[in-house]
Amino acid sequence: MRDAYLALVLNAHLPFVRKPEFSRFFEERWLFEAVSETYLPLLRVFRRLEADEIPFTLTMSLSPTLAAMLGDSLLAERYLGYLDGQIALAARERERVAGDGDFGPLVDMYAELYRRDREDFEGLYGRNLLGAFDYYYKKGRVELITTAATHAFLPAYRSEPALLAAQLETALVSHRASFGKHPSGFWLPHLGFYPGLDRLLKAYNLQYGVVTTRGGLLGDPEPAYASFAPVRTPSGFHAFIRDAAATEAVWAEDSGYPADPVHRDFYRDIGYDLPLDYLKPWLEEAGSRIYTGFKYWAVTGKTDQKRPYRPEAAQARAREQARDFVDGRLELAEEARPHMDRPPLMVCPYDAELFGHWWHEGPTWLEAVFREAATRPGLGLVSLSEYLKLHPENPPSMPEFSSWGDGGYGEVWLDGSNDWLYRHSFKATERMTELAERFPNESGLRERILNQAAREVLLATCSDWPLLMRKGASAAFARRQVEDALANFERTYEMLSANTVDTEWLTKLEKRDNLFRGINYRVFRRKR
Amino acid sequence: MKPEAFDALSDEEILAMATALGLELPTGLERSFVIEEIIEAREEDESPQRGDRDSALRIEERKYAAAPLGCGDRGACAELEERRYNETSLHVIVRDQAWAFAFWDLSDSDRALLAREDGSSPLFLRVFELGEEEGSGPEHHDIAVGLADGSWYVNLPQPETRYRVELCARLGIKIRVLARSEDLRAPRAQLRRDDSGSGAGRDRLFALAGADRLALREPVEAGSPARILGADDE
Repeated sequence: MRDAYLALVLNAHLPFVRKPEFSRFFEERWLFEAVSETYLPLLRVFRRLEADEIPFTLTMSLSPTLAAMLGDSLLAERYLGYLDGQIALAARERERVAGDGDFGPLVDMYAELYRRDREDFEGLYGRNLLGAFDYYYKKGRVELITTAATHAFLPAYRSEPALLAAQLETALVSHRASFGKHPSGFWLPHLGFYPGLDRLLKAYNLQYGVVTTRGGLLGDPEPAYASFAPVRTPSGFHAFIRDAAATEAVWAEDSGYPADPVHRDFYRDIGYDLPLDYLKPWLEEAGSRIYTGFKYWAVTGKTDQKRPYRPEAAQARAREQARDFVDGRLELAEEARPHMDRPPLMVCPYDAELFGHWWHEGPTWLEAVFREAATRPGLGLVSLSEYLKLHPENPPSMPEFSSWGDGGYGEVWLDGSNDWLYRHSFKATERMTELAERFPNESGLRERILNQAAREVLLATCSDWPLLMRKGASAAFARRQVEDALANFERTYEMLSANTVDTEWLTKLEKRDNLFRGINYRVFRRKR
Repeated sequence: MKPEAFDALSDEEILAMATALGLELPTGLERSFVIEEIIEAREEDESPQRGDRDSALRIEERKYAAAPLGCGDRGACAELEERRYNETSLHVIVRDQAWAFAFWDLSDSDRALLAREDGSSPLFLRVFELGEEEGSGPEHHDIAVGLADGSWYVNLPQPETRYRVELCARLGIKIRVLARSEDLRAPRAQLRRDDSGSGAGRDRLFALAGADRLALREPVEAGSPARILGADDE
């Protein structure tokens, strides 16, 4: 019998960005950076643990939009182009810093990262990262779950059942197409939950999700075990409650693990430090500065005088932090245990991209957590499904409306910078339902138009866009994405209403916004 | 980012950076002022999030480091923002424990009916507090809105309370309901003070789970009742 359980949950998600009409498109780099700095390093962690026979288990959501991009041959080709560019930049940097004791080894580190990424992506995985994750899924190491089709912030659309149903059904079809199985669990985008959402999730045979500490503790009735066990809603859905202390240890701005002075600083990048002329071959067509991924400085502290990054020291610190994390969880469990009739559970959900992309030492930390946990027989690592098999009966409670956004509710997705879009996304949803009702049994060309219309409505309701509209850097791009999707939907609506088709335009759009191949526009029909 | 970092950049590059950050600056502004605005905007970008103590959202935003874009075509976006659908409707989205976002449209015919010669608006939002139980509490308050308005943030004074919002117009001595929202519920923001004795054990578990750090418990002395704020009191 264990003293405590630890459930690590990762959410791997990126919004759908694919622009074949451009030879290069900056925002596609988000995918390339995530593949290079997070997904491939995570797979290397899994391989090493497996090779060393270290038990590891986690739950992981791979969003349908991310899965669509990982399965896309154009983006795969472009990723290889990105890697070749990074390898060339490493070679150029080698010349520039030749003989420098501080920066030479760092250039070697990046050169090796991109070389291994290329080898793994092309050679080992045959460009099939979905298959790579599926391998661990089938082995029972990584429980893959799904999330809303375009990661919509579901509480904002609680009055739009057709949109909610479309987000869920499309996600399930996508997950089954990628992995051949129906997922047990559902990642609530931004941990956004509201009472009543559980009924809908359960209706689609989704058994569990994760809610925030706030939402869980404010549940009705109050959860008998606080956050140390999941709760069961009246519909039978299980809500796991995020562990606040584990969250703070990793996410806290100034005191979390990534903020340690020896860790790599995310912001100091040669893309902003070196002359533009030198960087030109690696910049986008506009010639403006970008984060290249070549970062040579440590966090150091709140100062502009950064110290050179020392990878060995940083990796060692990450391993210390992993021990600290495991110790911390066991200490917390020891305090909680006397007040429970079962071992306490600590649920630790994080964005996958934290590990590697944002926090360079993150994958090392994660690996060290698994290795450390393996030396502590009292601590059981579980996936969320495994926990429910161990403890199928759980105290009743309905979590409160909440999210992990600023303020704990929905403010991030609904403020002066982004509230304008809901008028149009609600209208698009209403019109898509009207189309689905008007044309219930279409096939051929009309079905193609209807399916594409459905795709565009889903794309318009992606939660990343209102999130990004709040701040300067990507706000303009985010607005354009919403505008683009709504305009495309409007055009398909007009075509169907006027019974005319611009086949060339439709084909071009289908080839660009080519996600959700198995989409069925009828998901927008009113449920009887 | 320090001002010296801009020395190597041309004026055009600096202006492109400002545009990409969403800064709307008057033309002909001195280079040094543009640089100051950029530094300030980037510092805001990189400043810690307020509210809950984790930086999950900041990490999410950092997935999306962006290159400065071109001129940023705001014309088309502005057009979409202003677009209406020639139908009368009302939707309300609960945003947090104290606010909901109401947005509405008026059909051309309704707009014509409501137009007054003196330009004043007969429109208002009527916010009903339905109480915690179904069918209880007919209390309401009104928020005057203009014919040119299309949205409003509506205060929800009481947590765990159901509300309904109506878009209404005064036509002479009559009030006409133009559209009605679905019932909505303001979420709870704090733990109930449970005097039934859930036990020291549960209290300890809640404390270990972070209830105190998240300020989920009511203060021991409740103090004065929550002041009811209408949205137009701001």
